[in-house]
Amino acid sequence: MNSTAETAQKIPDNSTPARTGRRQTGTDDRIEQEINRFFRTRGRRPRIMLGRSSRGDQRRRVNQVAARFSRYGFDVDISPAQAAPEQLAQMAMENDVHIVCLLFDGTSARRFSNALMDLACDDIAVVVCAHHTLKRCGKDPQAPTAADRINPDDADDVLQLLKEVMTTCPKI
Amino acid sequence: MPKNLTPQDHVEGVLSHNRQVTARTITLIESALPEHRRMAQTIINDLIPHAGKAIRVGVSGVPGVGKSTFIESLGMLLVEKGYQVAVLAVDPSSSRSGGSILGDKTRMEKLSLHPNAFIRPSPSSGTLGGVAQRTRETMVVCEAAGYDVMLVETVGVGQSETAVASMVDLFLVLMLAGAGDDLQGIKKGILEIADIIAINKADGDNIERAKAAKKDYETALSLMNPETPTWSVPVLTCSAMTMDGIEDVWNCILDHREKFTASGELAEIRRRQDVDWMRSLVEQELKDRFFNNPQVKQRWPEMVRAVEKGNISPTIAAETLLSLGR
Ligand SMILES: Nc1nc2c(ncn2[C@@H]2O[C@H](COP(=O)(O)OP(=O)(O)O)[C@@H](O)[C@H]2O)c(=O)[nH]1
Ligand SMILES: [Mg+2]
Repeated sequence: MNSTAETAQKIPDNSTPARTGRRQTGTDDRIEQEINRFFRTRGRRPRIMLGRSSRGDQRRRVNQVAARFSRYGFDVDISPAQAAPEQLAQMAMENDVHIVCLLFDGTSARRFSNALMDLACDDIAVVVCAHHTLKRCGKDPQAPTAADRINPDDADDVLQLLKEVMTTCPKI
Repeated sequence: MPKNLTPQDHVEGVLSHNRQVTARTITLIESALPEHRRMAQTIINDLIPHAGKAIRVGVSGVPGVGKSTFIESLGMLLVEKGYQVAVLAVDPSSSRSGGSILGDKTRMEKLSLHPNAFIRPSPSSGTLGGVAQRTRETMVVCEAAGYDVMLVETVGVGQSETAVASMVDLFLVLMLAGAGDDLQGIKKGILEIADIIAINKADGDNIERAKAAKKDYETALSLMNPETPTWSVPVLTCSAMTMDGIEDVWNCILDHREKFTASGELAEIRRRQDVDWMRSLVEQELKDRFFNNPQVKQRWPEMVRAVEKGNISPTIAAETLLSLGR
């Protein structure tokens, strides 16, 4: 069934997801470590949903962000484009994700966070995807729960997000 | 949501059709941790008596044939008829070099937003055996939660097709018209496993070719002995995009169900599948025990190196390891 080489790799490392074929910087290594730790304690990879809204997000950008997160080692759900914030929240709950990365902000993001609260999903972390130039800039008082911005291209951002989820998101 | 649900919470939540608990139960099933697996097993045991009433349909075909689009269309037709539809996927083939990208919901835009549908894309890591087992268990959870149609999408490659065929009541194979001469090659295997064949993308200027393909398949089928007098495999044409013919496919599924129920074959199929299930559980457990045996783990890398270098024959290496894992 399995080739020897495949099995040989699998055995000593039975409980951690392997990642290969990528040049790794220091931060990327630490992300990999963090994801392996996540996998060992939760039994699965961190699962992130990219939340699209009908406006303002192009397909190409969505695919880029999805590819980025999956290369870090996340499992990535992509929402349909035409979903209302409330429907997105429902979907995040049903896919049982750890993190939602919204590709929009403002009122819709607030509606999303509220909907998530209504569903009692207070253990899902919500971040807003920043454009390339924007850095993570902490809590925005205008949007209490959807305020953290993350730049998926910035490994330090992603590492910090992972660490936060590791400590603040208790679910498996 | 409390962070730790007890097995009892899971069972009650699923039985009361609580979508959040159902989602979390599926997560337990997907987990790679032994303690989660054990807990999932307890829950499944309690749910099994409440499962089994759904219509289980496998949907197969080569990548790009339109399986996801077909499930979107058929699913929408069904939820509008009042059915509760669950969609699962078996695809163990994705690489392990990163996380999975689960884009199914983008291809099932309407169905994924419908309150009577539950679509749970699963990350496709692990062996086929593992994925198949997980899908069976997820099916039990969905049925116990009240979903009455299971649509299981699988890629059209031998092994996962067979795995899905061993957990559904009916195997639907989607085909394309004019796929060329290689049709001859794949035909036989597919005809043997299919209960219904539907030529998809029968729309626009493809309609005539779809009709011709339908004739071809019918001819090929007429040369084969039907597996049962109850059923000769029908060939339909449909368009997952325009919805043309989708209702006919569904009526055909119902017809199959009615006939197989009346003849007792449905019950017979399910009994055989239960035995299959038991067998694969035993096989999986034996494998896990062997590979998790500390002595095996310890000696494995050394044996691999020895075999690679040709210092020891594969048969002797295997014997040595097996004697440790006993
Ligand atoms: N013209 C036409 N295109 C279709 C039909 N069904 C699916 N497609 C297209 O075929 C492509 C693959 O469909 P998808 O459902 O993802 O196929 P899968 O890989 O089998 O799940 C998509 O671009 C669909 O829009 C159909 O009935 N007619
Ligand atoms: Mg598909």
